[in-house]
Amino acid sequence: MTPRSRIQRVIASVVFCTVLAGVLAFASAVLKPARKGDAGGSTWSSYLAQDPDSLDVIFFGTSHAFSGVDPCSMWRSHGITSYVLAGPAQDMSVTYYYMREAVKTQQPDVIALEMTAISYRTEAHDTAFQQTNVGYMPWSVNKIGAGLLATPKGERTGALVDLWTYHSRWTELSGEDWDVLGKNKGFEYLKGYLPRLKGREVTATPYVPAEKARIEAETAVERNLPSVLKIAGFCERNDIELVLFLTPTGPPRGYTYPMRLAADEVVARYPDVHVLDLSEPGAIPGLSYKTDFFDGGHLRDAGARKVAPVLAEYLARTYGLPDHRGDSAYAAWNEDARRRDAYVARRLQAK
Amino acid sequence: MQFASVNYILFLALGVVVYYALPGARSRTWWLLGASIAFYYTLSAAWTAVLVAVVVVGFVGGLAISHARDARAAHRRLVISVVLAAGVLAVFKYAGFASSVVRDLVSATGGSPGFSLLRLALPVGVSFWTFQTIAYLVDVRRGRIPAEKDFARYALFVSFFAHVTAGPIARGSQLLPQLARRYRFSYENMRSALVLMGWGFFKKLVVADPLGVVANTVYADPQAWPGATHGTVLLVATLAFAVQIYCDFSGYTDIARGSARLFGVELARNFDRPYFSRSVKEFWRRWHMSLMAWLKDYIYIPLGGSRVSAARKHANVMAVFLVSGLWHGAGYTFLLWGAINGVYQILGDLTAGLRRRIAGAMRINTDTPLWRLVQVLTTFCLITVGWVFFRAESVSDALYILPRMLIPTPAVFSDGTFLHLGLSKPQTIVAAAGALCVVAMDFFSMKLDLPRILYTRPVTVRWTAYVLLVVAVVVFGHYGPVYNASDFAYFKF
Repeated sequence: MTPRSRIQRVIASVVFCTVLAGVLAFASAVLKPARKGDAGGSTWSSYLAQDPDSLDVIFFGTSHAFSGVDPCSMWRSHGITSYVLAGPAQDMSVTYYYMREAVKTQQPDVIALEMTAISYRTEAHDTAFQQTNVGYMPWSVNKIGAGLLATPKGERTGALVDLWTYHSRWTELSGEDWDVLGKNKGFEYLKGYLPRLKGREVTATPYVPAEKARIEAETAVERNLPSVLKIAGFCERNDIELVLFLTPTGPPRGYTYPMRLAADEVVARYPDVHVLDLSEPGAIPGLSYKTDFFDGGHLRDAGARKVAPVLAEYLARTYGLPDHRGDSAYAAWNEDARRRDAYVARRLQAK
Repeated sequence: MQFASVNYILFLALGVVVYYALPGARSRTWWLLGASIAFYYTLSAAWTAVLVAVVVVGFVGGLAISHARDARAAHRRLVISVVLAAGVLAVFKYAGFASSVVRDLVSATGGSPGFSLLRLALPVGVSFWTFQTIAYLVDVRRGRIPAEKDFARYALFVSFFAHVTAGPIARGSQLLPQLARRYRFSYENMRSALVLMGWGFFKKLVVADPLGVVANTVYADPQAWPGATHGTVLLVATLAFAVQIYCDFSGYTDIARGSARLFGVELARNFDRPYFSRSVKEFWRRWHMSLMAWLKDYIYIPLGGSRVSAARKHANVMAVFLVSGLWHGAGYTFLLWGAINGVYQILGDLTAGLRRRIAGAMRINTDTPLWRLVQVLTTFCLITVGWVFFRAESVSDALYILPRMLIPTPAVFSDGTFLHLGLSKPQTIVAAAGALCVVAMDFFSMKLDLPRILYTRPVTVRWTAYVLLVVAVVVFGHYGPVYNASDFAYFKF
């Protein structure tokens, strides 16, 4: 074979691989389910659509964060701009990579870490949630880090290769799935918040012996504390304030003890870190176990609205966050808050 | 690490890049050996030591045989080496079955077995690499091949990742010379290797695994499908298994052969369109060819082959098929499956003259396409009856299924029964279409050199074909978290 034909073959092979990769990437984009701004966590497309460097606070954590923290209500009460970039049952090791990736487009004053996941033991892990949490991150070193270093061995392929997870969706494709550029757009005005409209009265969950609960909590903290410390270290290096917090939950408030355990360790090493436990009885004025909860752990929209001014007040006072409501550069937030209300009203009407 | 995994693709890509970057045959041999041991370790970490032990037995045994002072000493060393290699197979594969047979016999005679059944995990591919080792030792003893003096090369011959899990069972005369030479990169070879692998993945993931869902659903609890109302379900599941076992094993073989070809190693063919065979005898010449050749060379011929009396010859045939049955699985169902196929062959032999005379008396032209079709379908039916025993969990399950699957219950096609077999309607259609593709490819490849035809088409046609093959596998394949791609069926043998 002549050198020339050898080069031609190399070029042809490269072109073929590129074409094949393009076709597979398109198939992957079609088969991967849409994840718009109202998806309930891992709303990266919506997050990246926010104006660059426009957020005062970014909230990270689990479903407790995206169910209980309502940025538009916080805007309305105190003019704070924020986004909830949490994920369903998100492990704190993944949250660390979320945070690293999130600060590429935003330079927040405060990162607020919702601490439910401090109580996750290994068996709390859920494969589908892990695929959602990692799979919807934008392609980056952080996504690879989350997929390889924060994902159990048997789930890494599924977390990183969308076709591995979603290829069998070909039986249920709809017209929207083919709109690969636009399918994840929409509901950016919710700012990562998922308004839960259904609710039920919360009663005390079955009694867990104190000794068992204590041992489980300590095991979980031992597992998750390194990730919280990494997050605290990252915030310190990047001059970002960190607050560890809990949203209100129903009795017996099982997350409080592990959160306190971890918080003590974190504050001992990083004294500037603040701790806010909104699950304390009376922390949220007027919060009702009868009407404000979606279930025993998550708030519904009515509850989140009550949390918003308290949380916003704390953040504004503690960190001196400015009120942007009179600033024309942030005028779009007023429209977003209006659209958020309309969204909730629309869904209530549909019920 | 399974063949049907992203890790295997990455493993293979890394293996190829480093292989061709290395300068000499020796360094490449060590590289492939290291990769093979790592591959096996990921599949069966606990049993890697067993594989290494069998490699050492084969290597040392081969040298010992070749250095023996006389024929008696050589024979003695052969027997010791073969017993050691076969002993591994006996302990891991047959000890449990042997203890269950003893227990059954004790129970049958009214006694009370005073021991529990022995159950050992089976090292992946143990039947393949012990048979390969035995063949090597016998070939050295017979003087067909010289004993291999390079340990790395010999170890690679046995443990090469492309065939260590499920063959094809390689012969020293065929593989060792290939491993000794320094192979130069070939674009054509690389392309044909990738296409072969792609076709193997198609057969495995698009056809075999979905149809396996159907077969598994029904065979897991056949009594749940009463013959009077669901006889056709039993038949469909059996037919699904017949296609599954072929597409699974031939798909695996294509992936294995394609993987080896990437490194310039040509492994033996294992299948030659067996379902187009016109007799059971022909079928067994075209199904799992490397095993059948092994059984012929190392059991059938040493027993006298066909150069003995008719009765002795038939006993030899039966012995071969009983060994084949037990090789596939240590259980009564596999033994019966082997026996059925042995009986087919013996009856076929005994009635050959009679059938010829009847055909002559009835003036049937046996060289027409219609007659060939009748022969092919008859052979397929006979083989499929055998598959019932091969697939059933127990002899009683097989005996339940066999008569009932012949009861026609067409209502199951319209009453939604098939939606309870584990596949949705679109999945069933795709699996059936995939199976038809395999049948069509097998049919046309009897007369045409399909790869050559493809490679001589314009680039747009070729690329479209390649891309469609990959997309079909990736999108329609059964793998990943929704459907756990079942293990290749032959790994357990």
